[in-house]
This record gives sequence, C-alpha cells and structure tokens, in this order.
Amino acid sequence: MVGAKYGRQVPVGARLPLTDQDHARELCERFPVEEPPPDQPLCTARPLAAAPSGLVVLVSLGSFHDLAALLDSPADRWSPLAGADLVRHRVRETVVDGRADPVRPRVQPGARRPGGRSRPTGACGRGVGRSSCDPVPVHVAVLGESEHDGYSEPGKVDVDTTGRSTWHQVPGGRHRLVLRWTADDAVAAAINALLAQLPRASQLDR
Amino acid sequence: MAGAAPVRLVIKTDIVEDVDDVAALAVAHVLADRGRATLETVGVGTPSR
Repeated sequence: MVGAKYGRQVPVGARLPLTDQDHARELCERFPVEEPPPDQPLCTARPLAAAPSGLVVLVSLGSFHDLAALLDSPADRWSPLAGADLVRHRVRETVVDGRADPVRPRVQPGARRPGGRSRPTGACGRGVGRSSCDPVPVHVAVLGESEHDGYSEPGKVDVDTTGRSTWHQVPGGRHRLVLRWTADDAVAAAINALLAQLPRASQLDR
Repeated sequence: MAGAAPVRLVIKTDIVEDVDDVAALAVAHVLADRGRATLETVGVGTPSR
C-alpha cells in the first residue's frame, strides 16, 4: 500500500501463518494483491541472495523474532547459503531500534542478533519530539553520520534473558550506538520534512 | 554525499496498530525518490493474534 503510493512494487513478506483476525490478512483483503504474502524469512532471503556481497543494510523495527527466523532458515532453491551465512555475506550493516532505555527493551528473550555491525539507535524514541520513533533508524541507515547523528566508539550490546540490553564500550567491537548531535526537535523537523514531500510518482503525474 | 551509491535497504517492521512503521516506510521511499536508497523488500514481523 505504501509502495503503491510512491509508485514502487516492493516485495512484502509476512509472518506466517496468518489467521482470520490478522492485520496482514486484512490488509491483503482490503488492498488486493495477486498472491498472498510469502513467509517473511523467504521474502528476505530472496533479495539477499540476489544482492552483491556486503551491500545490504538491514533495518529492524520492533521485535527480532523475524530476524531470528531468517538466521535459522535453511538453504533453499533461492540461495545455496543458509540464513546465517546469507546475512554474513550480504549484509553490510544492521540498524536496530535497540534503545538505550532499559525500561522499555525491544529485544525479545532468546532472540539473536544477526551478523554485521549493529548500531542500536539508542538516541531515538519519544524524546525526538514526535510520538513516532520508527522513521529514525531508516533515516540513520540511509544518511549515516549527519548533522544530526553520529556513531559511538566501537562496543558491544549484551542482551540478558529478560530482553534487557546493556552497552559496553569495547575496542574493536562490532556494535555502535547512534549519538545525537542536534536537538530532538531538529531531528523531528528533518523527518517531518521528508514525510511532507510528495511522492515523485505523483509529481510525474502532474 | 553526491554520487554515493544508493543504500540497499531491507526493512523489517512490526506494523499493526500504530503509524510509525508506515512513516518509516514513507521515509525510505522519499529517500529512494532522491536516489539515496533502494527498497529491496519489506517484512511484517508481527505475529497473528
């Protein structure tokens, strides 16, 4: 639906099985597609298998169940690599909404982090001046270090069995925190400006 | 960063009842419109209830 608004056909995977009350099923019925959505690990594995090595940036919003499923997925007809090897070879970075706030951990117990460098977006959240934080990891994933954000020294995020994450600065570590340089309102304004931009497809129609 | 190759994005969402996942996807599309990113695939990771 969002892709159609912007004039793109983007493959969408869902977490199967869908039930009668499932939101994804409802979306499919209200906005018909030719085929039901494939299982999400498969839907992710396909473009990873087709991508050049080390170029994909994986953004995870919410729980890590689906990433864990991808890591546990076996090789298939789309890729001779199993999920963990596929991530290791194709993913350059993983940006997650990890948060520094231990009161509201987003990491699910038992979940595993994928390979590649992880940059938990500890600086995002309601404090950015908007009640919506999910755009921030995408903003960081694409724009990287900017006037708004930078990266911490290398370190490591540990996740305990309750899902609580803690950050440790470790020389040579593969994780980094996102640090905020500007005021939260400035980040919110930058994201609002993007959201206010008309899709290029609609501009071409004029 | 003029001339930089677009970032190939795979985005996993937990879209269900809030709007911020939709906003995140919209940000990705706008940045794709600007040539900064390509959106390879989107996942809906929220389990059925």
